[in-house]
Amino acid sequence: MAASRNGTACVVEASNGVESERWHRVEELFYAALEREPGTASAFLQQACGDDAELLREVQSLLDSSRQSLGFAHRAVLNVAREQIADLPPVGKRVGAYMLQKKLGEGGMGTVYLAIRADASDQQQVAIKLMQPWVRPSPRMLQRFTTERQILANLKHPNIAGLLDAGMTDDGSPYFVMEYVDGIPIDDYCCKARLLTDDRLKLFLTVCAAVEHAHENHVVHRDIKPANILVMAEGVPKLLDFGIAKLLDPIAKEQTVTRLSQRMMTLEYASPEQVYGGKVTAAADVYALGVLLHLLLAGRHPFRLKGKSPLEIGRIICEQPPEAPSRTIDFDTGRSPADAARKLHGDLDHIVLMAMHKRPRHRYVSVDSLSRDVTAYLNEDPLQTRNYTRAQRVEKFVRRHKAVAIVAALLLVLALVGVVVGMVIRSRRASPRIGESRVSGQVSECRRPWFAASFSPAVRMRPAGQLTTENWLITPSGRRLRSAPGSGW
Amino acid sequence: MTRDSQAVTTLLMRWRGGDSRALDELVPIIYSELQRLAGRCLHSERPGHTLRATALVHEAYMRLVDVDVEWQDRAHFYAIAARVMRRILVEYARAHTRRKRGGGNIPIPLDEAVLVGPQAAAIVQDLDDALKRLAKIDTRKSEILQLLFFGGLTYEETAAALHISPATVHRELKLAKAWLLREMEPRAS
Repeated sequence: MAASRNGTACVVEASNGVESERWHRVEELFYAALEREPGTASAFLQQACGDDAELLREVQSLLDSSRQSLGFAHRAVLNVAREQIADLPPVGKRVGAYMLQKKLGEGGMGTVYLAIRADASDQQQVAIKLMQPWVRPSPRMLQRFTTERQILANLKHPNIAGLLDAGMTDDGSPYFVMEYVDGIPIDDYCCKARLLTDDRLKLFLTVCAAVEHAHENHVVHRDIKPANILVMAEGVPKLLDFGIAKLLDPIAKEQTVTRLSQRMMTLEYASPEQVYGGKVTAAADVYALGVLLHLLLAGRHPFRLKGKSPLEIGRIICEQPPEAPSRTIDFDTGRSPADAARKLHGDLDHIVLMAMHKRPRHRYVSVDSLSRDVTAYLNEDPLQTRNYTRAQRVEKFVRRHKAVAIVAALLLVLALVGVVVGMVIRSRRASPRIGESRVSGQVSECRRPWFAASFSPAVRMRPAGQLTTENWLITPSGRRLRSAPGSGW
Repeated sequence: MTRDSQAVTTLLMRWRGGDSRALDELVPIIYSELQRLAGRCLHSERPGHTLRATALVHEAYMRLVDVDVEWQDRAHFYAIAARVMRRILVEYARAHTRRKRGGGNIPIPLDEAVLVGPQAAAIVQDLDDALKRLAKIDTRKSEILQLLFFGGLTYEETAAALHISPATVHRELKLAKAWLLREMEPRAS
């Protein structure tokens, strides 16, 4: 290859008479060799070129190439033409009652434009999703399209970008008119706003509430991913494209392999059953929410998919167990790495992995049950779906009831101290040496065990009598005092 | 429409008469017509069918040129259309490659059947570079390839546009293709 390239370079550099003569010689030999039987061509060339090895190599390499096809280059030209035309901005074009204003973004299936009503009766901006030219429904799908879009139009929720209208363009591609959301994808938002884990969880719960609302209305999203969850300036998330994936799915399925690979560009959030073509239910949304939660908590997708082919990605999604978020943290959480991992380890790992279970029936039964677990985590309650060991339950209880636990622990310590002190006093009485020191009060004060110093309120309130501080403390009245308000304990 | 076709016909005549500025005026007219047609053509295309550049150029011709011009002018129109197409596509491919390099998309492996995005764009740029090199050695072969690739012309139309016989086109093409393939070999394998 290198030799032939060099050979060509020589020809190109000098377009003078000598080189053009040489090119004619190459041409002559090339055609002459082509006319010969394949077996004799080589011998003919060797003889014709004599000791001009360069010439022989040049003609031979051209003969070698002449057996290949240029089909790949033709296809490349056509595909670039196709892409370029698909890229032409149809700004100013009318779609339904709307006029396109500018391009907002591009997805696997379509391009989104900002638009306003063409008759200017309303200045409200909307987003219009125009399907790629190859997304074309057959007549039998149109019926379904019409009924389903009505269901979607009825879906109203503060965190769902409403579908305002849908229809077919003049050239037969479906389009969707949606509420325009001026926001950024949820993962970008979390980074930019430097949200801490608990705030990320609260934002996630808002997203869950919207998905849950749609599920109650029998609408499955099927394509939950950060690009479809925009967070507006006030921190309010809005879900886009609800149910549109289902409307388009049968259309997409009819497309050829080429189209499929384009569709696979968004596999990162697809559930195993979506990859292998199983029944897609609300469980697919639970799965995608699990992937999203992983991303929000760890700052990284649960699988390493970069550079992998769609086929490999599909296999990973269906077969490879996801890594727990606590093991994949990949962003600045504002804590030490060990602290950040500890925060996710346990409950949050459990929530993500359960939502992302390969089998739909092992996932959360609903988005609501997923939300309940996240809420339980935030309240430091035990998760409903997790089995805890006794030690974990105690730990959970202690963390939840911090104040109560501290008081209980203190009381326990004091009770023990009391017992110990009592035992010490008893043993002093029994020992004459200690009895001596009791006689001389000053010495006794000095030698009093260190812990008695902290009993000063009780000492001050000691009733007159012969009892030592220590002895008094363990009498029934002393016990009462310990729990008396204002005793400082 | 009539005014346009009148203008295009006149420009074609002027260009054939040796007025090189006529080409500068022709290019943008043909450019926009081709874009418009190609867009419509793709929108009505059924999956699995390939875009037929030939059909496109023919239709542009029908719209832009008076029906009664002679065959030679038609061939010239195709030649210009091919040149314009090449310019449009190569410029797009160049911009496309630049943009894609910055993006974080998951790359699709190179597969003969699925030449999309960056791969196709890179091949189109290689093709353009190779045709430029070929033009320095053998202008006619480079022209033939340009007409076939970017104009979607048949051998007969190519022959007419270049004032040579179809047999010559056929023969020239053998070496032209071999040369091009050798130049683009890393892409083909």
